[in-house]
Amino acid sequence: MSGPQFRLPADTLPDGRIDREAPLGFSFNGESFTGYAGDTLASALLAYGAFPLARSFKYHRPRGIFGAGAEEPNALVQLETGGYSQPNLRATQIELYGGLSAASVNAWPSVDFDLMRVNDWLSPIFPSGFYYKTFMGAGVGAGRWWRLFEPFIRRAAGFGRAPTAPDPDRYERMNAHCDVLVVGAGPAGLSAALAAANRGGRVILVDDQTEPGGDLLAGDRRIDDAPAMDWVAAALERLGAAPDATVLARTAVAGLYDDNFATAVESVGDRFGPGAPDHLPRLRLWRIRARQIVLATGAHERPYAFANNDTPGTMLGNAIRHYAGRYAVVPGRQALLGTDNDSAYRTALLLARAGIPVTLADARETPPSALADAARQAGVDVEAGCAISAVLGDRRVRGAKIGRVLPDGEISGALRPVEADLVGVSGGWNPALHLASHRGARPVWNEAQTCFVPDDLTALGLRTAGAVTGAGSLADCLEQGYAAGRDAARAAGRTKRTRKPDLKTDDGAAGAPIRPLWAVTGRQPGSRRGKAFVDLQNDVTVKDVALAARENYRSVEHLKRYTTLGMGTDQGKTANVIGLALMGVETGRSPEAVGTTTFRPPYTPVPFGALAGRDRGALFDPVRETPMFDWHAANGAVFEDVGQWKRPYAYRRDGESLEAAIGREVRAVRNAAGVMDASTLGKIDLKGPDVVTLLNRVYTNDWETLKVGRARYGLMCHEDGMIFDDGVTARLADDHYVMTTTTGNAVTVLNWLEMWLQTEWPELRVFATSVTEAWATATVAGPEARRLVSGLDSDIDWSDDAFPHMAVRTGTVLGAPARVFRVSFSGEASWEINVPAHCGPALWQALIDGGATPYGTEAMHVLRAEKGFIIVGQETDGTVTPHDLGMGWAVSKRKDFIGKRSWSRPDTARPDRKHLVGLLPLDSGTVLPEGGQIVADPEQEPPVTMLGHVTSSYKSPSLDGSFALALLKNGRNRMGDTVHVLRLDEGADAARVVAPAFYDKDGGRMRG
Amino acid sequence: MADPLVPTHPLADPLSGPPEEAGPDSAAVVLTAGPPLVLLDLRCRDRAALDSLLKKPLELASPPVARAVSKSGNTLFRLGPDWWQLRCKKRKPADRLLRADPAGPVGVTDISDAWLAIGVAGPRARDVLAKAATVDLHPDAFPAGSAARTLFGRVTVVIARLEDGEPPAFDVTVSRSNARFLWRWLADAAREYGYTLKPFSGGGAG
Repeated sequence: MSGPQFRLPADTLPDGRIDREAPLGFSFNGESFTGYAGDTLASALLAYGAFPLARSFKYHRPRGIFGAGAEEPNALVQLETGGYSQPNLRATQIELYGGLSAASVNAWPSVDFDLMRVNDWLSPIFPSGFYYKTFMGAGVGAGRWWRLFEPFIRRAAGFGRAPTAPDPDRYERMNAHCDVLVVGAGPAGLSAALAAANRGGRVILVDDQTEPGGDLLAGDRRIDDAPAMDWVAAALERLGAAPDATVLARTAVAGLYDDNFATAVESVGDRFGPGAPDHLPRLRLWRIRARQIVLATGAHERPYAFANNDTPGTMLGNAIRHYAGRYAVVPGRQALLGTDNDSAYRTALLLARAGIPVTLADARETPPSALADAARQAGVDVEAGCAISAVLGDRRVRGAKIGRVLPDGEISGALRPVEADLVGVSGGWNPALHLASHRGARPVWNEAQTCFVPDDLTALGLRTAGAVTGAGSLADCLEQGYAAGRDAARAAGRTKRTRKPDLKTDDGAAGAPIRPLWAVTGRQPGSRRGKAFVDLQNDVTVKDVALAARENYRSVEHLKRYTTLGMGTDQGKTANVIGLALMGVETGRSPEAVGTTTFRPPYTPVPFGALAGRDRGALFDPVRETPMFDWHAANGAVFEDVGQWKRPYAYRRDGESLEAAIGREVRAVRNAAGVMDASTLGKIDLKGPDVVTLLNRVYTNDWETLKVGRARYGLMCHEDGMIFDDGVTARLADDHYVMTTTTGNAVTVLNWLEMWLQTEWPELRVFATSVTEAWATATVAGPEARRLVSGLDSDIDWSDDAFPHMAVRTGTVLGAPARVFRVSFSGEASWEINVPAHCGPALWQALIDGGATPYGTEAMHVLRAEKGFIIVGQETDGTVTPHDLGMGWAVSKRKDFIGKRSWSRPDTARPDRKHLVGLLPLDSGTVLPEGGQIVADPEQEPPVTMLGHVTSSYKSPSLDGSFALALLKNGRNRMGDTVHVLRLDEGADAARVVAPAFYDKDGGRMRG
Repeated sequence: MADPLVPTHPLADPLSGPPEEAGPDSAAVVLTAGPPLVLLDLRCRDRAALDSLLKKPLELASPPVARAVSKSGNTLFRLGPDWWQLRCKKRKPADRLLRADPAGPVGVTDISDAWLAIGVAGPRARDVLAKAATVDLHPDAFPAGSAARTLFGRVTVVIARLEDGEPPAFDVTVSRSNARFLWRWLADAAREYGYTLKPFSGGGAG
C-alpha cells in the first residue's frame, strides 16, 4: 500500500480533531499503516484511499467505507486476535490506537481475491428467497438438500468469527441516577444538558463519539462568529464546573426501558487496545435511572440508489464532509456529489476549499439560489435537475454517469459521463428514532422532511430535540435543545429559573425543500453488473424490493423478512426508509401508508463481556464461609457448593482417595466419634405468645405437647400438599422457640413464615428472626460422642437421664453461651453444639483435640441414608407428600395445616403413588446411578414403562455393600420384588426392593 | 487448644487475598474491616413500645424507614415498618435489652455474630458501591443518616451513611459468611481507582 496520499496537507483545511504530532502505527489485513491520534480506523484507512476492505454478505462484491458512524453498513472488521478479538465492529467507530490490528470479516481467501464473488455473476439465479424456495420448499427431498448445503451457505454468508480463547479482560458495571439523561452531545444535546445543569439538575450527557460535538465536529460551522467547536469547548467547561453534570463520551446508549431506565456501554480500556493499563476495564455497562430523558440522537443521512452504488469510493455525502473537516482526509481527487436536498452544499464547499474539483448533481430543477451561487463561486459545477445514474469501476470508482431525472426516478435523455473517483450521495435524513422506538414511540411520517420522526412521549418523561425531530438548521437544534433540557429539568423538580442563551448561527438564507429521490432507474450501463443496492449490508437491491412486491410481500414486516432488508448489525440505518419508499412506489402507496418497522434494543451490538460485567471467575457468585472454614481449608477439606455455602464434602489425608476418606469418616462415626460443621443449617428464633399456633399451621405434626427443653422433628408442605422443608424445632422457653431448616432453604423458610404472618395471619403475635449466622454449630456423633462432649469445659449435664434424645439445653461451653440439641441425623448418639459464631473455631479445635474425626457432607449423606432419613431436595422434588415417604407418623390428624386439604385430591389420595423404598443391588459391589430410572423389564420395547427413580445411592462401609433409596410406583407393595435400574450409558442393574432403613432399625444407638 | 476468649474475625489480619494496596491512587478507596459488633434485632408493631424501651437506657427514638439515628455511639437502624437493628457501643445495654419478655411487644434477638461492618471511604467510595448497589447514593438522595437494606449484587447488605462528611463515607453491614467475599469483591471493584485495605487488627467490642 502506498502512503497516506489522501490525507490533506497540513495547511489545506484546519486540522480538525487529529493530532499530527502523534502518529500511530497499525495493521489491517496484515499490512502496515500510519494514522494519527484522533483518527478512527476508518479515517486512517481512507487516508490511503477508498480501497475495498470488505466483501458483501451475499454477492461478495468489493465494498469500502460508506459512512462515518454507527450507520456504517460495509466496513465491518474483526478487531485483534485471540481472546481479545471482537467480530463485526464498525471501522467508523473504532478509535485508532498504536499497534491496532484488524482484518476483514467476510472474504475468503482475501478481500482482494474472494472466491465467493462467483455468487455475484450467478446472481440471476439467487433472487430474494432463493434458499428457501430451493431448499426448504415443498419439493421432493428439499429438506434433505437444505441440511446438506446449510453449513456451506452459512459459512459463505458469515460475518466475523467468535473469539476462540477466554476473554482476558475486565468489564465493569455502574449504576447511575440522574434528573435528566441527555442522549447525544451534538448542538441540541449540549444545549439541553446546559439548560438542565443550569437549573441545578443532576445531568448525565452521553455520546457515542470519541468527543462531544456531533455534527459540529466537521469543523465548518460557526456560532457567534467563531468556530462552533469553540462553543462546544465552552459548553463542556461549563458542564465540568456544574456540581452534578457527568459527560460520558465514547458511550453508546444500547436500550431504553420502562421508567426511563437506560443501558449504555462506555469504552474505557477498549480505546487503548490489548495494551490498555491493567487496572482499567475494557468496557463499562452503565445502568442509568433517569427521571427525564432528552433524546438528541440526531439523524442518519440516507443515500438514493443507482447502479453500482456499492463501488468503493461511493459514500454518504455528509460522511465525506466529516472525513474532510474532522480528519483532514478526502479519499479522492475529483468528486461527484448527488443530492436531492440542501445538505450536500456544505460538503461541496468544504471539498472546494480543500482544492478538490466538485460536480454537484442536484435533483431539484431549481436549486436554492443562495446555495447554488455560493457553490458556483467556489468553483463547484452545479448541475440542476440531475441525478447520478451509475458508477463506473469495479474495485474503485473510475467515473460516473449523471442524467436528467424525472420525478419517479426515471432518467430521461442522454447520460453524461463525469470524471470522478469519489462519489457522495445525499438522499435526505432519517432521524435516529431508535431509542424512542424502544419506549414504544410510534414513528410518524413527516411529509415536508420526507422522514419518520418519533411521536410525542412527553407523558413518559421523554423529549426529543434537534435533528431527531427533523430539524435541519443549527439554530433550531440549539433552540430545541435548550427548551427540552429546561422542560426536562423542570419536570424533574428543578425549578431554578434560567435565561435562554442568545446564539447567532451561520445557517444563512432559507434553502429549498427536499425533492425525495429513492432510486434512479432506467438505462443502466453494463446491464447485469448494474445492481442498485438499497441495503448494502444485506445485499438487497431495488429489484429485490420489486420482486417482494410482485410476490405480495407488501407489508413492511414481510418486506423485511423476505428480502432481509434492515437486518444485520446496522439494522438498516441507511436502508430502511428507501426500501419502504420503493415498496410504496411499487404498490402505489405513500411511505406513510407503507409504514416502517420499529426497533428493539440494542441500538448497536453489545459485547457479551459488557453484559457479564463483574460476574465472572472467583467473583461470579457470592461465596459463604462458615466460622470454621479456615480449619477445613487447612486440613484437606474438599469443598462442595451447597447454595452459596462452601461445605466440606470430605477431608482427604495424604495419599488418600476421596472414596477412602468418606469410608474412613463413616466408620469413625459408627465406631468412635465424628464431628461435622453444621453451621450452615438455617436457624430461626421464634418469639411471642402465638408461636405454637404458627408451628401447628406450618408443620404437618402437632406442637401443642412440646415441653420446654424438648425438640421435635417437623415437615413443612406448600399449599399443594408437597413437602418443601423439614427440620427440628426446639422450645427454649415458654414463648421462645428456635426452628432449624435445611441449609438451602434457610431464607426461603423465613420468607415463608413472614409471608403468612404479614399477609394472612397478622393477628398472630410472633416475631421470626434469622440467627443462622449468629451461631457456629458442631455436631458430635458416635458411640464415643458422650465421652467427648463430657470432656468439654461446660456446665451442661450430658448424661442420658439429664439430656435425653430430642432434648435441648442451654448453658456454657468453653465459657461461651451455648445451645445444645440432642438430635441425630446419623443414627448415632449425637449432640449439635451451638456457640456464638466467633467461638466456633475454638469449639471445633477442642473437639478435634478431644479425638473426634471430622466428617464431611458425603459421610453425613451415607450415614443418614443407612437410617432411611430423607434429604429435602434429594428424596423430594416438589411432587412428594409425607405419606409418599412413609412418614405418616409426622402428620397430625387432629388439626389443620398448610397443604392438608390438597391430600384429598384424587391424585394425592390414590394408594399407588410413588413410595420411598430401599434398593439393594443384587451385585452388592454396584452403586446404582442416582437419578437412574427404575423399570420392570429392561428389554421392553420403547416406550419403556417407568416405575420411578433412584434418589440416593451409596457404598456403605457399615453394610459392607451398596444400597440406595428410591421413589418407586406402588413401592410399599413391591417389597421383595426385583426391579431394574437403567444405567446412564447402556444396560441395567437388578436390585431388590426393601424397606428404606438399613442400619439399627429400632434406633437404639441414637437413644443410647 | 485455641483460646475461646480471643474472638475470631473473618477479616482479621493477616488475610489471604488481595494485596493491601493496589491501583493508581491508594487513597481513592479505603476499606476498613469493622470490629465485632454488638447487634440486636428488634421487631415491634407498636413504635411507642419500642421508643419507651429504648428511651431510658440509650436515649434513642425510632427514625423513619431507611434511616438511622445515633447517640453516644449507639445506632438504631430502621430496616422496615416493624423492623430495627440496634448497634451498641458496649455489651451491657444489649444484655439488659435481651432480658425483655419474649411474649412482650418488642422481640429482641442477639444477632451480634451474624453481621460485620465494612467501612467504605475515600473520594471514589460511592463509585465502588454504585457498581453493585442500585440505591441512589448521591448526597441529595442519601444524606447522612440514611440506611438502606438492599441487594448488593446477590449479597444482602445494609448500606448506611452514619456521619456527615465530604467525601461521603459508607458503612456496609454484611452477613459474617459473606464478609470475605464482599471484601474481595470491593477490593477488586476499587482496583481501577486504587485502594487501601485495613483488615481487622484486634480490639473488640466492650
